[in-house]
Amino acid sequence: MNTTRKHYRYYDTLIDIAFWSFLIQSIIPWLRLLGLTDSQLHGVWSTVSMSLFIGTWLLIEFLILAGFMRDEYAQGLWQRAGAKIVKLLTTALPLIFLAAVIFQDQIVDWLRTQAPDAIPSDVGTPQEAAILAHASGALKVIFYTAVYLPFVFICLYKWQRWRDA
Amino acid sequence: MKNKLKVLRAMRDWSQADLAERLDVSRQAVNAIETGKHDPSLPLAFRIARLFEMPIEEVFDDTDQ
Repeated sequence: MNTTRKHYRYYDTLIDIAFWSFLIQSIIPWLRLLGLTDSQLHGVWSTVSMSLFIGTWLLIEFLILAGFMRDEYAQGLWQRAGAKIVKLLTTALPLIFLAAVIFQDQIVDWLRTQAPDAIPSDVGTPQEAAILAHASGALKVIFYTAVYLPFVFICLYKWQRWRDA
Repeated sequence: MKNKLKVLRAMRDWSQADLAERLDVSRQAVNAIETGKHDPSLPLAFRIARLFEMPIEEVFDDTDQ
């Protein structure tokens, strides 16, 4: 038996592990919010949740890059999921940017009242505050995109495979 | 694209996993080809035809394309 054949089997299994691991680590914070976990175990839950999150994220990053593990059908699913991601990004990011420009003043006001740490009090003009808010917002968008896009990818991949089955 | 993969496989009493092993692809790939959700590449289509010892056009039918 050659080794590439084994890779194909492992790829689908790893995709499933990543998907379920992502779901489980997503549920833990909700359980905590709903008070369904023992308060004394919050620290343990946080550690478990964060470890799962980082482990799953690294696994998905590997799976996205590991072309050698995909057969032609998995490659097709990968491309279809990728095409949907491209569509999502090309529509969502300009919309977020447009919303940030249109609601610039409201965002700054909201940050000043709800998240005062986001804008230091010694920032001079409203324009400077707006620039700072935009820079901070842009960094957050980049951060959350980098963190959550791989999860979106794995969900789309699983969705395509489920639909085909 | 329609194909006779399921029939040919059943005639040999092979499971999808058996066929996948012989073709060097995943079981999901065999299932997707059988149900017409995935059109195999030309090299894979030739491998399938060779495995069943049939001309490629007898395994695959593109008349409804």
